Amino acid sequence: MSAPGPLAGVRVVEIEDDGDLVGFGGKLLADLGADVVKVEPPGGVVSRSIPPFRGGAADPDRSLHFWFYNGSKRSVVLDPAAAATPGQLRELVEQADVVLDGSSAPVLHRLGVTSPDPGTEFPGLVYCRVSPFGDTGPSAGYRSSDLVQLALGGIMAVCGYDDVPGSPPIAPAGGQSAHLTGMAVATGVIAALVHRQRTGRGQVVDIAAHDVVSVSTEMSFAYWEYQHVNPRRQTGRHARPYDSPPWNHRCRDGKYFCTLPLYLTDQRFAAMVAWFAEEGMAEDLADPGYASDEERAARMDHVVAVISRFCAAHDSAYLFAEAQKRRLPWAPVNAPRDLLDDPHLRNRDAYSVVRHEDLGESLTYPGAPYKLSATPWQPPTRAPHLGEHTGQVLPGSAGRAGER
Amino acid sequence: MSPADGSQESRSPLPAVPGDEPPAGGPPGALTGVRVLDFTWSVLGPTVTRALTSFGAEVIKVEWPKRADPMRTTMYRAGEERKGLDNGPFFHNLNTGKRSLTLDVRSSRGMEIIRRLIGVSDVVIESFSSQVFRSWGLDYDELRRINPRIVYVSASGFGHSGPYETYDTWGPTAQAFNGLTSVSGLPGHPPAGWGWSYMDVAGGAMATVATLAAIHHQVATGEGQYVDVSQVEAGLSLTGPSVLDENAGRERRGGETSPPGNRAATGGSTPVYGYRGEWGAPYGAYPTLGGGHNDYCVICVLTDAEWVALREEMGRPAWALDPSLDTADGRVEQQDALDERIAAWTGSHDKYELMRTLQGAGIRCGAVQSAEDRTEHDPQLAHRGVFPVLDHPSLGEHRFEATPIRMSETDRVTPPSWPLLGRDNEYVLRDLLGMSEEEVRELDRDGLTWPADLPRDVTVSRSLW
Repeated sequence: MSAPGPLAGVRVVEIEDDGDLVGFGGKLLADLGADVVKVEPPGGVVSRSIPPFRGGAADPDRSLHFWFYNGSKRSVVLDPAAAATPGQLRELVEQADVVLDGSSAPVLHRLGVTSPDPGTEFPGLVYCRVSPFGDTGPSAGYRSSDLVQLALGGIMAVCGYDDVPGSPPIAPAGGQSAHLTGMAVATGVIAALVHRQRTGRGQVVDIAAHDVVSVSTEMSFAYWEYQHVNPRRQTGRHARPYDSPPWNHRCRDGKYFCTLPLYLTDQRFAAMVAWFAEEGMAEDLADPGYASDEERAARMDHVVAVISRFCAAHDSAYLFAEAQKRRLPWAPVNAPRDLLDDPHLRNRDAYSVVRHEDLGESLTYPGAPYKLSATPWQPPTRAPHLGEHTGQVLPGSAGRAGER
Repeated sequence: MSPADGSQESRSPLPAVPGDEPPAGGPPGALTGVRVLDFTWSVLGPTVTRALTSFGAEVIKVEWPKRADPMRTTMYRAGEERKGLDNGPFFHNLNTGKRSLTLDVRSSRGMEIIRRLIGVSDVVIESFSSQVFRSWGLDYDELRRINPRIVYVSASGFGHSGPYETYDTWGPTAQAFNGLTSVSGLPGHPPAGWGWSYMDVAGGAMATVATLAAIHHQVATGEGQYVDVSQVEAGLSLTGPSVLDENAGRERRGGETSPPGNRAATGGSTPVYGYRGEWGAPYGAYPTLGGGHNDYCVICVLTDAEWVALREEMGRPAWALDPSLDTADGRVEQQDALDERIAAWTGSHDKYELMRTLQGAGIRCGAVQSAEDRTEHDPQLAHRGVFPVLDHPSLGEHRFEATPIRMSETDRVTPPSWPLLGRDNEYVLRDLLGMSEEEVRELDRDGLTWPADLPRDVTVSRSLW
């Protein structure tokens, strides 16, 4: 039995009703040992309806999306007969150290809380309000989606192609706006918990997805603020206000290989040229005209063309091992499925096997994103069935609504 | 007072969120009094310590001027004539609020000073290749011997164990390797990837969560620990449902090597899911008036009712009344045709005008915004105070990116501190370590706090970006 997580003993109540902005934040806290109780309507939260479903047919207990984001959590369905009265919800909030509120309207309204400080009614509570745009301001009521966040937040403006005519800005998949938001949620909540440890006081943490995404694009902001230029989309590499040569080249085995040319120091360049020369493919790169950083920068298009030809003649696994041997920070462009048997990730237990005893099977999930030596990340248990823990969490609940 | 003040609308239960001034009384930040010895460089690690400064932690960035953080010289103001080590705007936007100590840690006297500093710090963090700290004699066992309550965070590409432990990564390498690059792009084309080092930003944000969790445990028990963050692994959970889909026997195809474009799903007998946590159609980016690089508006229909609303806004064209479009499955099947029709309609509208109109009808949509758009044309970000103006000693007054977390009791603070190289040597050596003025002068004279053969006023000829 491994040691408990750093948030063992922290009770989190997670509420959402339109989309899934809080699920990842709740998962980060649950995986650090917090007891996360998910409050659901009788039909289940929206995220239970996201396909694909294990077994094919739509089933609120078999959404792979829901499974991934809700491992280790408990599910409570509030008594629909009591929906008009906030009694059960109040009971849950009273027991909570943290409320993650991703509802369309702040859940405290439903509890009749009018004080600007929820701590007067719920002492010590860390109340984390999570919304697409914030609860006030000109866009407060705007409807949202992953694509809306990636568009307004500036991610799409810098992701895409410069060699596919007419192609639109591209929104990377995976649900990244919710991921970035979830990281901010977990960060704000744990910071507030540290403050509570030191002072006994709770507080409101206010996270808007639009704020979070808008400060997550690295150089874009500085380019505008200091150079008054907007970087342009360039295929598979950093957006820049000027043209730059490609990074990703197709290998003999069909995979793409990322050959970051940004940090070709004298030492790395020399190692690269020696390697290419061993295979008779260095072309003219050993000429003195490439010796300095400035000279290489001026002829980088040609340097990259040589790299591209070298990649086309070799397999990605060979390129990865040999490049890294020479301290070239290069790697294959893997799809998620390419990684499950990777020896390094296996060696570090980067995946976690989750038992679905109800289905008589076990599935491999992404595992610990970080290794804490004293209070480790907690391998998840399977996501709860709809209402699975209603009776356990709310023993007085009439009829254990929604329990299956 | 920032305009992000909840009191403007009386129905909000949220307390007024203060601006960038610390509230009166009580510690100004959740981490006020927490001291962080920061050996990180580039973007991944500094992202962590930037977040910590906004909670009031004291972050001391340690560098040697001959090997200064390369981000110092990576980008300059347009027309900058003096490209120095202290006026790189990208660097200062990322390292706001930190202190700077210059020290030759590869000398025995320098290392002795570091060991004393570890003794008076709460967190030590580095983002070197895995062998560097060990080669300095500072593995976790040694750090713990010096200070049993120390939290040691290493943020590296592949982590501090395993077959690839010694491999080098930068953000783009990490995101290529861990699958993030592959989930961005159009079907049938090479990956579009990310227009910046997403894994530096997201990996840094994940490492911040881990660091705070360790601090939480430290405050509760007095116990420190070793936090090993791999940038590659931190990204595996960012494609979670794709991973499950792969090993769940591929219920229905998700995440073919080619990504789903901007869609949430594509039809056919084996649908490809976009894994955005959403499902529906139409769902895409449509060109708008002007035809410029960022003249696009995204529109997302997730329910039948939203489709009806969009149809109304488009003026009920005959093609849109086809009953086969009344269901989500029907719309997903016919996305190609739908997208063409919608694009023909959006092309005559300004992206913001379209956004306001459609949002007014309850439709999920948004303009594709450049950095210029976000800083100049986004009233919501202005309202939320996301880009506060700060006065930098060499750059002057500029907007900076704030940590996007507002808190009612301990709102983000901006320590009036900038990591100008060596600016805090006196503070660190004298105030924290109790050295005498003479000792500090001697260190300087012996070339331990600045290289003897390097001018104080270094300039570079070429910036990276």
